Amino acid sequence: MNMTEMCAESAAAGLFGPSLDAAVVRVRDTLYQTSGFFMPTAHWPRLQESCERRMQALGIASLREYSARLASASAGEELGHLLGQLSAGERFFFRYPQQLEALRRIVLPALRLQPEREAAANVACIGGGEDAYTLALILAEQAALDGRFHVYACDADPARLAAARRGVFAAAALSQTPPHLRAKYFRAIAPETFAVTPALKQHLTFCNASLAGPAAALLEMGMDVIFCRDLIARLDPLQRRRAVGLLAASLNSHGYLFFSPFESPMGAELHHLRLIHFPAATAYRKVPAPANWS
Amino acid sequence: MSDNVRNALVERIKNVQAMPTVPPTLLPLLHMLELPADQWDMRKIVDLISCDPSLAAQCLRMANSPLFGRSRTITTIHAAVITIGTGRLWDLLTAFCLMDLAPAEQWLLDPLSFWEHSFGCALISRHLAQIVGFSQPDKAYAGGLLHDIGEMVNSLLFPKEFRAAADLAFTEEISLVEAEQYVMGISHCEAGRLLADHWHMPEDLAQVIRCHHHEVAPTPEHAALVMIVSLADLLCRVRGMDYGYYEAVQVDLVADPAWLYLVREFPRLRDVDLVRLSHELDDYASEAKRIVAAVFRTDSK
Repeated sequence: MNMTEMCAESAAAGLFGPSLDAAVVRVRDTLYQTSGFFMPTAHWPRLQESCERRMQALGIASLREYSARLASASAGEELGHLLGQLSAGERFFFRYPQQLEALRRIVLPALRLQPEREAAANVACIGGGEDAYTLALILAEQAALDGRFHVYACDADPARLAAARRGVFAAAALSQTPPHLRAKYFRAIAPETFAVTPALKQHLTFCNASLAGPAAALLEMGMDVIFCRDLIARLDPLQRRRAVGLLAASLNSHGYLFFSPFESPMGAELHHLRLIHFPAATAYRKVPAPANWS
Repeated sequence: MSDNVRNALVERIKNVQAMPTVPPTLLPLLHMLELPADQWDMRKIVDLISCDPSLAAQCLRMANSPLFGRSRTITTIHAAVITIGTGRLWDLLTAFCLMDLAPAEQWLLDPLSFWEHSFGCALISRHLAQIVGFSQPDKAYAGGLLHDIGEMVNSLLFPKEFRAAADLAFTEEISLVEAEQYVMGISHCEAGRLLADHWHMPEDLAQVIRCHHHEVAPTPEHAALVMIVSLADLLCRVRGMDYGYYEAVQVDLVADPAWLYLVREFPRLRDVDLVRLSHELDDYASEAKRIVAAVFRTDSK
């Protein structure tokens, strides 16, 4: 028996592993092409579950039918619903820990700041403030910075900004925070409720700025690190391009921009952003524009 | 490390009787790769396996493992080969050959991490070979699987020195090859090449082993294979398929010498969506872990 015969025999016996569900592949590819959001195979149960919830809401019986609907030209709104389910960020400190490890062990030591300059970081679309305080906390723990850092936390929603500025969090939000950092940077103010210490807060500025709105964004310039996690996939292509452009413009040359692990900016090279791989994490680094760039 | 000490280590490799002996089935399997898969002679493969009691037992065990979900017990090598299927047969046979080379207690590195890295590199090498249009994707797989075999040599023959190098790599979060050079003056690439010569391994694979960290340049006819495996190795190290420690490495793929070489030789690589490729490669990490878990009989992570 040669290999071809063996293949046929094995296939007939159904011995090869289960093939990828074509409908799920189609949903994944549609999502990626339209939003830059890519769901790796290991997360497909979550993708399938989210699709099923949307199918139920729409009264659609099969995943095949739903994937066809999603791929249709008028599916913008439905894509938004599905992405909302998939990227509905749980809010807690120390999310996506591999990115934070890369920041702590690779990016920050590589910054090599001049003695008189402080590290500047930006968190765009702050949610409840967890990402902004997490970033501040990591910078505060970086001995080489010796407290020379500032975090600008931006959001378009005044209510979210006010809540984040208060810096009060339920214990659940701190579940992934190492105990020694919890003890150092938080105070219990009520049962199961913690407040960020004033010493850490003084390193943050909360500002009203929009990456997606029609008004010109007021992002601080000269950033060394930017976190913009769980936002850009939910923007339409035009908004996304504009947002990525604004983020790139506010970044120092050789600065790093972190999106969430499933998001990609699509066309990053247009903004002089290069995909950088770290152990189990990625980010984008701004490279200097060519000399003849205008 | 002085040249004298380094030369003494090299001499030890060349003369030592404890050098791992080539598994009897490995070279015939590597030669199989010179033919396209559809021309492999299944009878010869079954005979080859049947002549090696350890390999035969491993094949039967694997075919009866939950990985293949058979309801009836497989009792013949022929049926085991059919069950495992073409997609996995060669991969598993080489794995069985290699994993028995050294008892786990003689490893200074975690053997599971080592083999996960090697399998991950093999899978990614084959994937990259297919993407760029390299004519021998299975050869790329073999290169990926064997590229770090020199670490086994260093681990078995120079346990004290290799332990010091590994400790340095772990504490300083640097690559193992850097640490080996610093502590021992001989990297796993050089040690691996000596083993490859000792085993009379095909020259292209020997060059993969020697050149994948760019310590020396490969010959032009084998450069593509070397660069594919070199790139796959790099991608593994940033995809959680490492040696069980945190290597503080950042990789700008499009500036890497292997990428630059491959883009020049295989222009279609320019059109690859790097973000998507990077996500797709994540799947190989879990596949490599699954294979190693099955072969080592541990629970899949």
